[in-house]
Amino acid sequence: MTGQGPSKTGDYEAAINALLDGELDQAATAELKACAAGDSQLSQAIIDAWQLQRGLDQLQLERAPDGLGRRLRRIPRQQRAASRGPVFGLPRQALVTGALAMTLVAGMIVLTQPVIRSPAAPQQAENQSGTDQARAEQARRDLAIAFFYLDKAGLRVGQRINEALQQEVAEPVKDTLNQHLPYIGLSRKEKHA
Amino acid sequence: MSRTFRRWVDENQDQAWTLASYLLKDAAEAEDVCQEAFVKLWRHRDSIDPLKIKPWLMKVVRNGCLDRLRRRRPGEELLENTATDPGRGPLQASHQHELGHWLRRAIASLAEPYRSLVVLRDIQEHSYAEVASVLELSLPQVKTYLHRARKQLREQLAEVRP
Repeated sequence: MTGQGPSKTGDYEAAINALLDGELDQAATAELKACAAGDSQLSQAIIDAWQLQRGLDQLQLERAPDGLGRRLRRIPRQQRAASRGPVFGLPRQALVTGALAMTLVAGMIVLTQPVIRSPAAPQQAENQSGTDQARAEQARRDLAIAFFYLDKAGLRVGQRINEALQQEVAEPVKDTLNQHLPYIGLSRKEKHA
Repeated sequence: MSRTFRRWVDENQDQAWTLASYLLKDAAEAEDVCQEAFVKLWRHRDSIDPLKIKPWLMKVVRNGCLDRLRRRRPGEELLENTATDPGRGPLQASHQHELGHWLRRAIASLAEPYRSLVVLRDIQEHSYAEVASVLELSLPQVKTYLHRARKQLREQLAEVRP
């Protein structure tokens, strides 16, 4: 109250805000000034509003912590690694390798079994020995090829394990240890506090 | 795509961080909310209009903050709300730095959506339309609520005026 009648501060609330937003035209600004000249409460409200606006203008965007920036930039790599499925990706390769190995072992067992021949047919056995040798030779060649593929699969699995260790295990473990072990360093929350 | 995402991070991380830290008043929680928001951005990168990344991200950050505030015990928020010290106002403060500090606490004491409105409009200087989009309010609602928020701040300022 000004002693000159009821204050018009409430009526001019929208105008004060428009003034702060730079949206009040010249005529309306002049009208507001004229009213404020005869109303101390309104003029004080305008002064307060200017002071507030000046203070708000000084509040800058706060810079995100460097650690957060690094975490955010790692997101694509982490998400890609997660979508490849660390749980199912490696075992699938291992299962394929294991199945190949089992097949080879089974093949070797079959090949090394002694041939049981009937004593009643020695001639037939002699004729068959040539055929058996040829078969054994063929089996050895097949075995060599199978071992080649097995080695190749083993190399691929090794590469996948290295990749997974580098991307998913090595970095998080390093971060966690550095950030959370009490005798190595303060936690993020403690640093900010 | 990683390069584009890095650009989005560079362009928006400060705004996301500012909003989250004003709303939560806890640096560690604010970092977590920002990270969750950017993970969501990565997952939905193909379905978001590149021109609307900023409002989309601000909305996700704010919703994340509100979820965390809801999970807090009532006492925690009450304690935060009384953080503004009326005994030591900005006009007693001789340095601009202290005025800024006082204002920061005064903004933090505002209720929602006033706090978000002041941060988005008066600190981050988003347009009214962007603020309306982030807060899912109509344009007239944004203006009305912002007027109320500024009035509350002015009243706090008046209380500490010598």
